[in-house]
Amino acid sequence: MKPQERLLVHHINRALTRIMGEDERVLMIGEDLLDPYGGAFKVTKGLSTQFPQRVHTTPISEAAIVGVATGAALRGMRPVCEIMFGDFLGLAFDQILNHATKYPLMYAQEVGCPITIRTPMGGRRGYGPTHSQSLEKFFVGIPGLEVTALHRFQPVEAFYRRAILQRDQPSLIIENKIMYGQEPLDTVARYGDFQVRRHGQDVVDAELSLTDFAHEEVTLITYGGMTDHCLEAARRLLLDEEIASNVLVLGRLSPVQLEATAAACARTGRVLIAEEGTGAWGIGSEWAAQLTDALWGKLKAPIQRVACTAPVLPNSRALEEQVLPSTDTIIQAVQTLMSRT
Amino acid sequence: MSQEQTEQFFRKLSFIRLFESHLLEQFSWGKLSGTTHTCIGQEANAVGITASMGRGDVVFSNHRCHGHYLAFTDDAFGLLAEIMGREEGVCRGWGGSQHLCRDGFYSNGIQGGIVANAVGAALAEKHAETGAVTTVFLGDGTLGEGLVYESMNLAALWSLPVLFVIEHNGYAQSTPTRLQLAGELEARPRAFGIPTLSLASNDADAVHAAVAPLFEQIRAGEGPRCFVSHTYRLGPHSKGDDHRDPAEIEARRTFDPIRLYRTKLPETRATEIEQANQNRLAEIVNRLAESEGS
Amino acid sequence: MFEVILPQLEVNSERALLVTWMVEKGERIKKGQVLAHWETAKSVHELAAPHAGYFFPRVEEGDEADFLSVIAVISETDAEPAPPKAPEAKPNREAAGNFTKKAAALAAQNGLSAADFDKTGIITERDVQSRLRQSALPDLPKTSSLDNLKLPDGLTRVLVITGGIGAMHLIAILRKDPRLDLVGCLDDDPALQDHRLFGVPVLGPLSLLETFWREGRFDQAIIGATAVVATRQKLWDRCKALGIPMANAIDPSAVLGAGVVLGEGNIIGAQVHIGMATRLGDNNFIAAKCNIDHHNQWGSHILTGPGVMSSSFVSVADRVRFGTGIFIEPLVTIGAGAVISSGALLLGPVPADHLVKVRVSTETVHLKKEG
Repeated sequence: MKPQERLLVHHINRALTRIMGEDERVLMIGEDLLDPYGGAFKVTKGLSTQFPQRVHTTPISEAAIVGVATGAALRGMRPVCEIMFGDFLGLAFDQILNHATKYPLMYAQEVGCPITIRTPMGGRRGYGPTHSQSLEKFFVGIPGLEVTALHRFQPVEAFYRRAILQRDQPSLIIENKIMYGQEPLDTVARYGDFQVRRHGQDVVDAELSLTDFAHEEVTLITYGGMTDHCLEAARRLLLDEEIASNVLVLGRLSPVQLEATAAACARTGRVLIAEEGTGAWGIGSEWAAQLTDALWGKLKAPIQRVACTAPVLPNSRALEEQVLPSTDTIIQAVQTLMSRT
Repeated sequence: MSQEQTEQFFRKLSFIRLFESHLLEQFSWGKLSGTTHTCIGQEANAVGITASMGRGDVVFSNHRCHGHYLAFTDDAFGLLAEIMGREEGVCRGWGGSQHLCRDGFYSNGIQGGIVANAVGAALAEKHAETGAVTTVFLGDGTLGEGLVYESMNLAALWSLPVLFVIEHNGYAQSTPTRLQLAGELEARPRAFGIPTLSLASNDADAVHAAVAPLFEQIRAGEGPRCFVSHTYRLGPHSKGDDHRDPAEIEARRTFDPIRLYRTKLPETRATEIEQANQNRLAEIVNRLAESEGS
Repeated sequence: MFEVILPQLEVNSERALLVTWMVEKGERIKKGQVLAHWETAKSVHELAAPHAGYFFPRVEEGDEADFLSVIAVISETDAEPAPPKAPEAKPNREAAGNFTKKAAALAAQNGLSAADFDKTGIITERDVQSRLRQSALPDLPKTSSLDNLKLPDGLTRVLVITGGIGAMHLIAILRKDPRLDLVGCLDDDPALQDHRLFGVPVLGPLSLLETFWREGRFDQAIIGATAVVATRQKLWDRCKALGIPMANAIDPSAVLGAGVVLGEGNIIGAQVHIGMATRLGDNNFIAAKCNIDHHNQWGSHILTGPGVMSSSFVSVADRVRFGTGIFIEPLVTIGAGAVISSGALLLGPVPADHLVKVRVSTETVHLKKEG
């Protein structure tokens, strides 16, 4: 394997290749998918060569991409849509809200609509206000839509196989674009000084600890692109301040399933939720509300949330770093957590 | 047209009219939940177009879908129960008037979105090589939605087996065409290279004669087609929301598709069929009344 | 010399793979000549020489390089330029064996290094404490503390060094031990010369120490000064320079648990309790009613006031001075030279050479109003 083929983008690519090879109902629909270009982030590279009949490159028509996939799914196909940047997903919002998710629900019968929408979200690449956002919070409130976020500890093929082949309802998969160029850690039991545990099948929550999964004082909950920042914060908190934390990287954003998470939080009683998107009405809002309910009486301090602080993501990398949540802001929030009683 | 087919057409046309009129009446009495959009005046399209459809064909329809549904599935009981919000309804009372699904028929109350879904369905049927044609019904009002054009573009690019039916009834809810549609209607599908046939007739036979070749062309793999029907909605948009000039409506009654078609049958036969339809509807209404609260 | 930078070949990647160099190391190249083929996720890119000169690669074929990093140099001469200096090693936490800051301090205090820990990740304060707990047990001495006392056949002749109140305290204890023969005291205070302290004569100034030792006039010595740590340590150093064995003075009312290990020259006051497996260094003065609970590790030259209550697993480094009535929580560590004020309650570690102050809010008021 060439060094570059170790990266997460190649693992996704191989997973999609295998899944397409196994099941003729799987279609790829999206912009600029054809080789040699192979998609803006190269996730679908090679697919159009191997499956020329089933990879459909489209005009710049996000609503139609999802709409066509929805119709094909109603008629028995298992389409996978690539939305080039998550920021463009707003154009397809109605198709997701009023069509793909509605059909199985409002027809009140065995009507499946197994579409999978994959899209890269997230900043830290200097792409500016309309190509860097983390907009998943606008989609997690859509009933009937499963929203999952890929993370490096997630076994890749099982994750995509579940969404594409094993579910009958629409799935939205958030791929943080920074992750494409990182190596997957899908099988590791240790990551640096962290021990890694995984909870769940197919869609995995990863729990990491530098200590022993028993004596931590704080639980950091995150998903997707904020994972590395949380891990580095956990490391520095332990080295510098002897504050031990466990980091939970959740794979599923919606529907919310926090039983295992609540159990982990109950050990510490102090919870911080980190997300890259803007905070108000965010992913963390719902998680915090549900965890507060589940942990009432066990919380030692109000749940803290860390999120993007600016209403728009600046193009300048320096400015972007200032407004996106960082290791430092997580550490500060943990200090706040520790100081409150 | 065989006598048998003519009778069949009239049976359907007359039943749709009867059904829709019943709904308006029931609505007045507060028996229906929510809203309803009847197709009074546009029945010829439902009957004339679905007559070309066969087993495996797919229909996507819009908020004004009762006629299409009845003509395609003949499931009057499931539809009436659904509109009345009953468990026996085709969607168990969840979908209602605008959201129906049965045997390849799908409808949705959101404007324009179904056009993309229909193109997707056609894509699936093409992949599966079923030979099925997917028909999507939209109105002139829906031409304000951008997704219609994204969808036509894709259907043409990918040469998909889909028939776009634009029922141009002159109004987008209350807004007349001249206030909401610029340029020529037929030029829109043609701009994508979709062969488009335009017809101004409420005669179900004429509609059928016009559309049948389009189905054949689509089934032969020639790609999408568009049929534009210049028709007129004699009833209100939904109920009690009609502000059109009564004289304008009255003038259009000359071209009432039921009245037009009735003349193709002997009076006695037409009356027999109408009576049979009334009996059928009465039986459905009774069944629903009997099972209510049981 | 000109550095060849790998340009940002593609916006959606961060690095590229070197497929092949098209020129040899040391080869003379022209400006614009194709140097290499680089592969990104998107495609293969040719890289042209930005300068003429002699080519020296910095990246091997098959390796990846980050965009905007130096991949080769073009030199004016055919002599290979010196390889770039390795970037200066940043202060690396791992270099300290992956200890947390607190763990590193505690480990250093107890002479532990990363090799003492059977752990791959970060070593925390808790790990060090746990290691100290474990180490306390297997290393228990095979003999009891009483056996550890230096008791030759017959009486041991003991010389008391300095003769103030501390010495009287000491003599009061030593007199209770029938095995000891108190030879006398040495003290520089002229007022004490020719006096007896509880019957023990003051024999003269401290300058006699060397002579008395040379002449074999005592077997062991013990230091009576109990007020100033530095004085006590200075006298100790002077004795040890002569190789004098030092006696322990343990009040008979003191209770020493199993496995207690004492060094030399310690004074243990009345009703002191020393818990099992505690280790005490040399030359300490533990005043009456102190409790040094089990598994403590105390160093040397420590002075306490009465009633210092140290809980289990407490570590006290050398030369610590305690006031009176102090409570110390389990596992607390106190650094060398620290001074702990009376009445302190120690919940956490005290760094070396720090003073623990106690804010006293006690106020004495008159019970009767004036007039």
